[in-house]
Amino acid sequence: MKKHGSELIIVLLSLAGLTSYFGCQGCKSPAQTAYVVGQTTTITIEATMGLWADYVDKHHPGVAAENKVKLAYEQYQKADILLLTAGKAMLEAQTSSDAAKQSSAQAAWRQAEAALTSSTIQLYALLQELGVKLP
Amino acid sequence: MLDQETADSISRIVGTAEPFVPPLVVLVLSIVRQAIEQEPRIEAALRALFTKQSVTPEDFDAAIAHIRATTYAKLVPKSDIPPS
Repeated sequence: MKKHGSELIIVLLSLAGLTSYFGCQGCKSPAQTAYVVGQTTTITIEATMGLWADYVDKHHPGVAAENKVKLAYEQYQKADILLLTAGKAMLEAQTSSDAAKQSSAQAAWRQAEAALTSSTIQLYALLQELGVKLP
Repeated sequence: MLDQETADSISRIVGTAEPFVPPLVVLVLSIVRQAIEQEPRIEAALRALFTKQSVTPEDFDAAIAHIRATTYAKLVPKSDIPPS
């Protein structure tokens, strides 16, 4: 597997920032921004996990190390699902023109975005700590 | 190396997505170029994402279902963790 772990994370964060910027400027709807951020994260994390899969295949770091990564990955999954759920809620609030719903959905989105960023960074840091060579 | 045609296509995608923030576009483009250099699937996935015109609740449902289905065991097929 030949991927650039750190660059992937930077891509993720940059695209997240860029798409958030789009959302702020009204270029895309907040729901579409949520979708793009969620999907970009999915693409990035799955690519990064490919590096871990190669590492496991070659070095067999052990069940304990793998369980740590599995747990971190599952935390990322929850965060990405929460973010996409918030995005879907924003889309539904947008189509119903319900201001209270929109505000609530956007608050949920902001929380989910923070959780997703945190879980992604933790997973990446863990992989580095375990010895995965991420350029 | 990333060929010029691919670089141009990514440039167009990012540029189409947001033409009024050229410094950010330049930054992201350079990073994306590095990332996709050795992984063409990333380019394809990002291309589809950035050219998508609108989203529906079904898009979100599909994305969530994909994440749920993409388990650790699927991503790491040679894992030493015993199957549960």
